[in-house]
Amino acid sequence: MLSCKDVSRLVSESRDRDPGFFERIGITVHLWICLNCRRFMEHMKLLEKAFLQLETDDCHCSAHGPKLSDDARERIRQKLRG
Amino acid sequence: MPGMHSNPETWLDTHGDALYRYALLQLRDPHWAEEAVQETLVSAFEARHGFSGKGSERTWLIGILKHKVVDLFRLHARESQLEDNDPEAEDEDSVDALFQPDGHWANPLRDWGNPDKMLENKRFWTALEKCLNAMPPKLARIFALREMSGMESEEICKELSVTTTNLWTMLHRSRTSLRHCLEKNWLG
Repeated sequence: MLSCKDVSRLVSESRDRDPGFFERIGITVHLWICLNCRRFMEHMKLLEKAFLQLETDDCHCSAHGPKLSDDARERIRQKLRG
Repeated sequence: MPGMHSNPETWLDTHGDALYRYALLQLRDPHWAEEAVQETLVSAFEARHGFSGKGSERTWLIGILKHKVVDLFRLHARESQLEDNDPEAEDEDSVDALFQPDGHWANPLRDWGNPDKMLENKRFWTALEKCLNAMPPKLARIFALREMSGMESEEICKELSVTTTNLWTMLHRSRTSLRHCLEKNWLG
């Protein structure tokens, strides 16, 4: 049986490579019985969604967080006029 | 296409902050992020006829920005701590600490609730920024290249001269510790 530590690693690696057939089965069986690892998987998916949203116009992140300072904006503007 | 002007200054007004924020989350240096935004707008203007008008202007600009971020990582890698010597040892501890010796999670993972609600919550985005900034530089760069700039594993391996196994291990550590940090910070 795979441990949570194993499964978290495999779930992560599935984002970077195709898991083998037996790895897939191992992950699936573990997720059936382990709430924590199901949550881990959900959280990974949520993070993916968050990063995708950063690229869109309707990102809720936009009202908050760092902005270009007025100086920086002006510097860029000058370079664009360059 | 509404709002489509082939004028980089208009793009700066409309998209400047979003581009800056996106670059800063990855590069973590305000000057580099500013450079990325500037170069993006210059390149975008040169490539403006290549924009079909389908899909969002912002997404198109972000696509260009991703390449500029990669370029800036390359350019500045040696100047900064990105080439630190032994990141492996401390990272190992940080993820191992999340598990019991028998491989179970040391602490239960919490329910984050409805994904859409989460992404509307200011505290989530503040926590994400805080947690990304807290990542050790080498992990942060790898994480950004993979999860934000969208580089494939093989490309990153070539770029940074690491093995795939090494890369996957570092990505696992960065994702697991990010999740942990987020949970602590945004759920309160």
